[in-house]
Amino acid sequence: MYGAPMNFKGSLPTLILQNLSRGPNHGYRIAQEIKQSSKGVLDFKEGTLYPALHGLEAKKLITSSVREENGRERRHYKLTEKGRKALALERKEWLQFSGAITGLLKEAI
Amino acid sequence: MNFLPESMRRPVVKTPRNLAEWLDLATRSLVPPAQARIRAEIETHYADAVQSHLEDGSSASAAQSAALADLGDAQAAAKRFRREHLTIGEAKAVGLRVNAARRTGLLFYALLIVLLSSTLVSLLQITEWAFEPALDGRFLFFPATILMLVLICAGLGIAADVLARRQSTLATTRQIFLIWTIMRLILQILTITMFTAQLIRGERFPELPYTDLIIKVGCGLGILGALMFIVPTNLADFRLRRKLASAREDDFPANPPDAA
Repeated sequence: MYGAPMNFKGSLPTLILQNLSRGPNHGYRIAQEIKQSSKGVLDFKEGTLYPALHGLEAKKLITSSVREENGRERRHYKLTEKGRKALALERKEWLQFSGAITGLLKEAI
Repeated sequence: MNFLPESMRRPVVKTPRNLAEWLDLATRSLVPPAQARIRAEIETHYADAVQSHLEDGSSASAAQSAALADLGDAQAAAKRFRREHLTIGEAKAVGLRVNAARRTGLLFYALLIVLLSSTLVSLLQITEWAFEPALDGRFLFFPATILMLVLICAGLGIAADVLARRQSTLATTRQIFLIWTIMRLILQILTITMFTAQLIRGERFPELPYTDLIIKVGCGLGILGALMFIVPTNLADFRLRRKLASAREDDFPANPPDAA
């Protein structure tokens, strides 16, 4: 188990919001960027990315539009103002949570 | 004759061997607009992934297999897509109600509520209670409450009827669905109230050959039966209303499948 990619199913929407905070992006690139920025630690099946994107869009945290890129039609996603606020909240909560866990684990060493 | 849509007539593939089978499995129960959108997105994603594996030096077939494996379990994806998009079954349920409203079905519903309320009022012998204070513990049975429910239902019935005659849009569908849900809830409350009233008041039909016990057991079973129907149907409606509220215009079929 150790050293293997981590399952982070519940955090995927937050990571998508974080990725989109850097600018509009499409599904494939979002998946690759999340995997690359975590240096392969965070891995997920790419088929689960789209339900997460559609869920965020239904909650109006992101919007989407179809654009042509290199002769191919692609759906690009963009963070909304509501999404930006949700991301700020999620980030704050995660930092508090991970800070507490790190503190406890350091104490144990 | 097979009434299932084309996408559901094909045999179920448990382990997809290619992208077409993966997409079939992941989208088979969704409404056609949602299927089309997901297919377009995942086809582009898959093409990008194949290209990337080819650039890494894989053979064409190895690149396709790797890109398919990257997508993961199609059934797990299908489960998640069903949470986010309308399914064919749900669209049929919504279509049934919108079509019923178009055929003045909700006015009929309103009439049914009026009829039930009248039965309830006569059952409770309103002359006895007509002038009792509303908050004496039996306010649910107070005629003013019944009259108010009847007026609300008649108003809602007319509003739904007017809405149903307009051009069908997602907004209209949402409104009709909400009205339908409220009216059905009122009808369900009235049904339970009728049984409860009878249970509390005891023997009201001395001319009928039923004992007090039979009536009480009958009413108890009536309440239980109504609750067994009401709880799951309202939970399903609540989920469907949540999905409708967040549905996009292009997610919803222009003419919901008519279940009639």
